[in-house]
Amino acid sequence: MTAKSDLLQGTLDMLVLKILSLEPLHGWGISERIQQMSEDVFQVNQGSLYPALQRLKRKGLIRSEWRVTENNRRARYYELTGAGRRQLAAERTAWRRSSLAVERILGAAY
Amino acid sequence: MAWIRTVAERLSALFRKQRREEELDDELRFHLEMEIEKNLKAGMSPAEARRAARLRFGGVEQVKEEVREERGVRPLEDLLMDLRYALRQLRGRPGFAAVAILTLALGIGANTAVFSVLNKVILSPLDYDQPERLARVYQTHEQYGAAAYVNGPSYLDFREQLDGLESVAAMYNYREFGFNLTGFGPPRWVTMLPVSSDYFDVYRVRPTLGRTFYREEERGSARIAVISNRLWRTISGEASVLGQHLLLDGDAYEVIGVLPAGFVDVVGGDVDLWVPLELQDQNATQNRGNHYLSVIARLAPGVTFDRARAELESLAASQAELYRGHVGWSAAIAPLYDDVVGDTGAMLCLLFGAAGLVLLVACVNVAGLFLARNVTRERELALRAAIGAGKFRLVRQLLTEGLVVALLGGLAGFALAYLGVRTLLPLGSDALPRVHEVSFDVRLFVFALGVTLLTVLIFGLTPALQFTKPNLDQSLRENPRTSTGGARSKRLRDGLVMCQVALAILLLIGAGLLLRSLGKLGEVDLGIRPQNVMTFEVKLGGERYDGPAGRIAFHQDFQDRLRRQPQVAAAGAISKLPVSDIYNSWTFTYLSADGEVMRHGGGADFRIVEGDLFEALDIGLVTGRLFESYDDADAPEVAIINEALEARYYEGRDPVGERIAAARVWTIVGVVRNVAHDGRGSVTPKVYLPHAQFGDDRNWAMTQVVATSMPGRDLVAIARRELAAIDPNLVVHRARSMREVTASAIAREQFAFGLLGLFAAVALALAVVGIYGVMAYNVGLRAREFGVRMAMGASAGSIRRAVLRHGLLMLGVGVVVGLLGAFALSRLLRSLLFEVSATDLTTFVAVPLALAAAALLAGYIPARRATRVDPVEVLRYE
Repeated sequence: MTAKSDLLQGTLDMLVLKILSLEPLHGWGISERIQQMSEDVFQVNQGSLYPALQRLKRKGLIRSEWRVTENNRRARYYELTGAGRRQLAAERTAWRRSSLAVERILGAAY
Repeated sequence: MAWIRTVAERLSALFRKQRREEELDDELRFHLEMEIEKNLKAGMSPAEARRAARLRFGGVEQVKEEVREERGVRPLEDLLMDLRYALRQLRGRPGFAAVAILTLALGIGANTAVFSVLNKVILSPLDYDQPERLARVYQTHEQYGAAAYVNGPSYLDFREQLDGLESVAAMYNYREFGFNLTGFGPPRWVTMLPVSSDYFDVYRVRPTLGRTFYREEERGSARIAVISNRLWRTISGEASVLGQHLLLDGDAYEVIGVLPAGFVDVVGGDVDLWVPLELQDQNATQNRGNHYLSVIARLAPGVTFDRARAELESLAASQAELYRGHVGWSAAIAPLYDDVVGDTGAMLCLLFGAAGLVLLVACVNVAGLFLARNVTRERELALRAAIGAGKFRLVRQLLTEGLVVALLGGLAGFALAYLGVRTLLPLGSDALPRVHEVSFDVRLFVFALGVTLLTVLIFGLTPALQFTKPNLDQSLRENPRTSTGGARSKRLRDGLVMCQVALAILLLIGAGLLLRSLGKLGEVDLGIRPQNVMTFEVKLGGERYDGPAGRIAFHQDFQDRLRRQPQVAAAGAISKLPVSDIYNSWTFTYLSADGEVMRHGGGADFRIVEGDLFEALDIGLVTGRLFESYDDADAPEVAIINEALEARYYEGRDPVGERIAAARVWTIVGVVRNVAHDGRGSVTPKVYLPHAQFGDDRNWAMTQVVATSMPGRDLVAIARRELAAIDPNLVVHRARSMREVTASAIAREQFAFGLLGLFAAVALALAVVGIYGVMAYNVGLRAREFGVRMAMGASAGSIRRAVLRHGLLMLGVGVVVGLLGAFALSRLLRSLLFEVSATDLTTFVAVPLALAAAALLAGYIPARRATRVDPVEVLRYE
């Protein structure tokens, strides 16, 4: 893990939770969705998604099960747990508060 | 509830490891396939699509490793893997494993064994209530000795007049008393100690049954006894033992108390029963010339030794003014611990230091082994780092390997120590105080474990640190056949060998000096001829020997019977054998032949002798005559003195015909040669008195001394037969050859110095193995270089010289450092040396030579191997 991805670790976890709050998805789908939603701002190795998924799972924020995709292939799907939903809500509030604060500070400087 | 899930997750992770790995594979494969499909749809070629997908994904193995780490069961799983791997590594190199484990076992074992003795004898306080307040009290004489026994009246003075002492007790352990105990099963020999009533207060021991003595009972005729827990269990084990009577040499003693199990008297020794000490007769209340009591005391609360000492010394000074017998005498008090441990402390610390050095050598050896081995593993480790193993994992892997070796070594060392202590204790029983207390305890185990872990840190971390910054690129590119292991690690290895040599020199010189001392001790002229002499004791108990006539008749009859045996040259008896310490010190007055007082107060040991004692021990006559059969109870009382007494008190006068006086007046009839009272050949003035005249003083416990060319066992059998013919109740006790007696006088030196010699031998062996290992390893690394040089025309001899030169250099530096260290440290040994200088030239020359010879041999084998390299074979690998 490089310093850059360490910096992003918290953000990545939040993004994953956000995406899974919309619908259950497999790893590749999540990585595609991150790219679309962030409009290519986050250039992360796709591989670093998997440790993050494992981490969230261990914390009980998401769970996984093997399902068959629309193309008839077996894939591991992840979905949010109740704890994950609450965590996402809490993080969203915290994020808003801090980003607002940062905005205010930066705005006040000019 | 979260923790339940965590635990469940971790457990299931451990058990479903296989399945999880497969699922992870599937998941990542699915991801890559989807990405490739996407790329193909975007119009890439299949190869391009695959490459782009992998590029976006990153390293698959690295991702897997990170996912595994996130699972959270890693520590346990990794440890098991590391352990399996470490064991496989060790099995793959049985030679390395065996040498490393054996080396550690020796180091740890030696330390643990010595510590277990040190722990009890030196480190642990005496096993009594508030032991720091316990003291030993002596009387001291300006000429005669620093630590003499106390006379009876002085003991009573101490007990009554010293306020700084809470209680003062006397015991008559002047010699070993024994009884034949009958009435409880077969007759047995029991040891007995007459003590004052305060004895139990000083030690603060309370009887588990019954009571101890009262002060009014301090009479030799009081037939009462307190018995040890051990004796109580063997004869009875019931509370009803109180009031019962023990038959000791035919006299009935009433049992009044039983002491608790585990009570041991460190001064009086291993005792079966305690009887009241006679403190009311004339000897105890009047005779200030007879020093026969061992005195112990307990300081009053808050009193320091300095205060007690000042009080004691002022009492002794007033005694010297009041009584003629006290002229030249003073008194001393010392902590009981110091008295018991004595100079054994220095000896055991020396052994511990030596054991520490052996451990150091062992650690250095193992560190060198690991270092050398890890160079060959550099590529393997670099490869593992390259395919995704974290640095931390690599360091831990190396530490685990070190741990496995150290634990196996520690285990073997513990076993070795256990066996060692089992073997050493019987050998050391003559040499060490408190040996009966030595046992294994928790602290010992902790200590062994601590040593083991310390060892892991020392040699486990050294190689591990080398790989915290692995230069993967270079390590991978390097061909192991061409690698020389790096200049830094080579310097480290050479340094380790030099350390080993230096440490071995240090130990060998210490051992050499002490062993030479031991040799000198063995050659000391003790003043007797110990060859072909048997000794044994016969205790005269019962009515028949209550009067002097019965005792005198017994000795003369018994010795006559022995003398009649073939192969018996002489038979006699003495009240205390030579070379078994000072004993019976009296203060004499020296008179001229006319009875004029020439000198007051000059101390001497006196000995009671019977029969051909001087002949049996070959103690030569200087002037005058020996005792004759006509020196009997009706004849004028006579004495023989030794040369030391003549030299000290006679200033060139002929002592024969002059007189000496103490309890009686004796005429000196002869002067004999000196006899040592210890193994170092120390001599004090002595007076010999004939038993036929002085046997009425008391029932002397005489040791029979027989010069005979027959084996000791045969003589004892004959003695038993003759004894039975005289009195069937008498037994032969403590049969020892005179050689055993003299050997036990230097038992402590023999024990300690022998052990040190063993340590030094181990250190030498380890150093030689270390030198061999490092040189053989170096030769292996440079095989290609040698091959090339020989192909270019270098002679085998020049290569052999190059290898040996390197070995010699390491050896030379190690020897010089070791010699300097030995020179600086050997003065610490001075107090233990005997007739050998701390900078003894022979030792300082012989030891390095011996080590150099052994080391060169160890270096020559690899050097020879270096020149057997086949150039063609080596170059083919290029």
